[in-house]
Amino acid sequence: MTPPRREDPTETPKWWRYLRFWGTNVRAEVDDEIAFHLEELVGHYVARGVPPDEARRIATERFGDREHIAIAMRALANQRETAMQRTEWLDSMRRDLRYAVRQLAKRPAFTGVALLTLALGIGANTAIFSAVNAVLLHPVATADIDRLMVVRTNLPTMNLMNEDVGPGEAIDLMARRDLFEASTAWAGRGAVITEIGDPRRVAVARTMGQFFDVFHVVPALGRFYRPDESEPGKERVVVLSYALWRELGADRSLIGKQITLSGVRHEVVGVAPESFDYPRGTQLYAPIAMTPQYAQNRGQLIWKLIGRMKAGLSRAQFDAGILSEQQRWHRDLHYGDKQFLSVVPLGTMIAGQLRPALLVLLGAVGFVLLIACANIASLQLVHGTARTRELAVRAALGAGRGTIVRQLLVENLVLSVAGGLLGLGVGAVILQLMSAAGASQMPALSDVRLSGSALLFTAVATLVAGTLFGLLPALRAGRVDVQEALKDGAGGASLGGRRSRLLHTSVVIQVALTLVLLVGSGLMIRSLRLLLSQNPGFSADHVITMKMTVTGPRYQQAGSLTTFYDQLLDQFAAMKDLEPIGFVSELPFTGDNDSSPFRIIGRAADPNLPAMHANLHTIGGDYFKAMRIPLLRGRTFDKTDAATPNQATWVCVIDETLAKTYFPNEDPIGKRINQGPDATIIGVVGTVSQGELGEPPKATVYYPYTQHAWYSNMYVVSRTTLPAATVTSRVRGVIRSIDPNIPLFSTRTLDEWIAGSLAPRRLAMVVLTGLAALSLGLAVFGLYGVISYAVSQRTREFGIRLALGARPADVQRMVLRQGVRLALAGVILGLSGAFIATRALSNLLFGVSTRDPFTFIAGPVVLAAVAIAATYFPARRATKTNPLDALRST
Amino acid sequence: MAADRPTVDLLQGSLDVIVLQTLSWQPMHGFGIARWIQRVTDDVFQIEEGTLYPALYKMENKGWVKGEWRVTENKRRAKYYRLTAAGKRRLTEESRTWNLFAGAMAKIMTAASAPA
Repeated sequence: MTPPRREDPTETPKWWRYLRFWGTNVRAEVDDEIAFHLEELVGHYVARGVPPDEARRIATERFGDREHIAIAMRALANQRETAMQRTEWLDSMRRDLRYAVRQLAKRPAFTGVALLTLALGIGANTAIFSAVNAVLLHPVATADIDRLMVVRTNLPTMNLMNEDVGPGEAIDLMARRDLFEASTAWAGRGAVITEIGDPRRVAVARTMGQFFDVFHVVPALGRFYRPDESEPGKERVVVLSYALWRELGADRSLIGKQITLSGVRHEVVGVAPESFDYPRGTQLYAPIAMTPQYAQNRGQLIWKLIGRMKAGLSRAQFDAGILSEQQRWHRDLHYGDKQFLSVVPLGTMIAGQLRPALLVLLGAVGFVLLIACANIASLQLVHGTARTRELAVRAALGAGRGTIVRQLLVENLVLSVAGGLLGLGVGAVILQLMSAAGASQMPALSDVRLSGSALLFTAVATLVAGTLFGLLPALRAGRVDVQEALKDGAGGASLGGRRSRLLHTSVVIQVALTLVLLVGSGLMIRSLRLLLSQNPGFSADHVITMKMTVTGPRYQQAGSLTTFYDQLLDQFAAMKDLEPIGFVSELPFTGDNDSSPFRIIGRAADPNLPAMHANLHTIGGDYFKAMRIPLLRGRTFDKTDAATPNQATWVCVIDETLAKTYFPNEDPIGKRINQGPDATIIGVVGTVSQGELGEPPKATVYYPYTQHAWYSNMYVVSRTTLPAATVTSRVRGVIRSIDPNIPLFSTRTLDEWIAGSLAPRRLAMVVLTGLAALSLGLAVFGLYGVISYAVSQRTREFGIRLALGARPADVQRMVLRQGVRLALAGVILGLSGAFIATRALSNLLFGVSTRDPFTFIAGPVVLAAVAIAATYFPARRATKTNPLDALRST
Repeated sequence: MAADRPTVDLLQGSLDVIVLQTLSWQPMHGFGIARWIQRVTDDVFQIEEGTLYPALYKMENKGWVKGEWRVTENKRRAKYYRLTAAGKRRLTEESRTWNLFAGAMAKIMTAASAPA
């Protein structure tokens, strides 16, 4: 084998390379290669003595379908080109990234500050967005949650707002098939299940109507209960929550098993899906038997009516339908008022006060991100100027404007992506703090995780931020006049008029936005302090509360509950250090409430007024003493108020609000009211807040457990200096000695319950204040940076002034004046912003106007003081200018 | 390369080995490759252009050969292919397989005893 004769090719000519610069012309190359082959083939035949024409014919014939081959070759070559371009792009990207990282590492101060700013801005945004996403946008795992509506009762004359509805009203409304695709009403309560493992206390949702259909859920196992299973006698079926099913051993054979729920046997028919947790924390769902009494029981406001609006029905049409039902009640059932129901989206009701709190925070973190961006933009502007020389050198070395802009953009991109990643970490920390601060009071917050959509949001925010603060300075920096920049030897180019205007604008914006946040947090702090100073009508210190659920087969007979409570109080009497001790069916600030209609015996109801409502509490022992609720007239319950079927001797105690509202000019003692059974008023006690501090007073009636003998859920209340754990274990011991199956749980101090009711406000206050402090820091840093820069730019000018006899104090005043002018502009802009923005706080404020003069003066004063301090140091530096040095450095 | 593959595959694979082996001598353009193979095999292998060029392009995409435009002795522009490091490795592998196959084939064709 001998290799062919070497053709010894010479190098490719230079011009060919330049052609390659714009990528390969695939078509031309393939054609060239084929043409070359054909010519060589012709030459080969001619060399063998074939005449040229004949040789060309043979060659063409031998080559075959030229176009077909060319197409195959072009396709392959194009594949290669694409792959090569991708590699080249990746290479240049990698080069740009490496260069950007090196450039950023060269300026650690700038990079550090920028990263921190971005991380905080984006982190706060991610955290709040995640919380909003979970709590406000997806509070229940269901389709089209916007179509789910809750019907609420409002009786403003009785200070009853946004309450549940009565069972009779719920049944009427649920029958309106023209309004609802599906509807349900539920009431929650605790119960005890036995027969599967140890007796355990479970949270039960008793439901009417098509509970699961409303939420469009399908069972994880088994089935949900059927409509006919709410007929009396057929209602003994339950659906387990997924969590309870797992706790019970995640056993499929549980379906069809019998369990005993509060002493009554029920069949487990199904398991709800894992994602479904409404009402939050519910472990067991059971239908309620629709006895005729229910339909007649109107006005007892303990049912939550939820419906899915019928398809095609607008919200206005739906509301009109609800109104028409009320007008029917007014006409046919002689209701005093024609309009006392309101419609609220389910999501809004679930979020409650968290909704305004989170929305305010969402706005606030938006401000923080804006401030962060403005801060980084000004950093960039200053640095863009300082880097003019570096960029000019690169331009002189042949880098096009596009290259420089791209380089700067990549730097910013690196910065924002790194900042975004750090921000995710910061966001996780903020979420943890938030849930630690309020999770026990606001369970909705404990489930919040940094969500995928929040991640997306962060990524977008980061990119937008990067482009926002990167592009503008980059474009300006890219517009470099090489000659000018290089000529200006020592200090680099100074800020042009337009650029310094931009810089000043960014500082003014930061100051303004910071002021808005400062004022907002000031208002929140003030209103929270005012709220905490409100007297709830009882004294909360040293009060320990526990909850018990007295259920089981033995409490099915009449009087059995009373016997239990009697024994309990006897035992309590033996424990002097727990005294005063008592119990109540609905403890203030727990969210439990039972607002029921009542009438005064012997007084005709005004047909034009809504039915009178009062909170209904059943108590035992020294409840009033334990809470330090003062007795104003008459007496409280004692042994003489015993259990007796003779309702003529039944008694009640009313509160001051009821006495003043309904017995304004007479002694209520001895008068009789009816709120279920009749009862004689024997005493008047002070009014207490039930739902939250500072709420308008609501009328309340207290009944003795001996006569109102059907409450199985009670809060035990003890005023004692003993530690909570000791109290709990002793009370538990007492309960065990009477009935070992009765659980005692939820030990909390009364102060903790009160704090819980304030948790959303406190959360808003704490986070808002944190954000305001953060923004203040950023704004001050921005101001400091800009003034420092201005001072360094004016070194020559100051030198000349000082040389011409200006005193250092004059120079200092000049610099200070510049800083103060910027701060003032920001304050004025911020004040007008705050006037508008604080309106968003109105739902969260208490006792403080959204234009509270104190806050509106204190905020600007704090800000101005800090701003002047930030200007002071660069101003001092300006006075230290050495005239000779300044003049020499030309 | 398994010996039990269909004929077409075998030929396709063979062309790659042949071209790689050819280029192991020195860089060559497509026509040169075809001519050289023909000459070396005494015209037994007639390389068709319809398969040679796509094969070359495929090998270039795989990174076994690299095409470069150069000028020939006769001052004509031609695309020369040279073996890359990856191409050399490939050739080593392929020739081992080919030798195994050829050796086994030879043993069968020259076997002295009849099948048992």
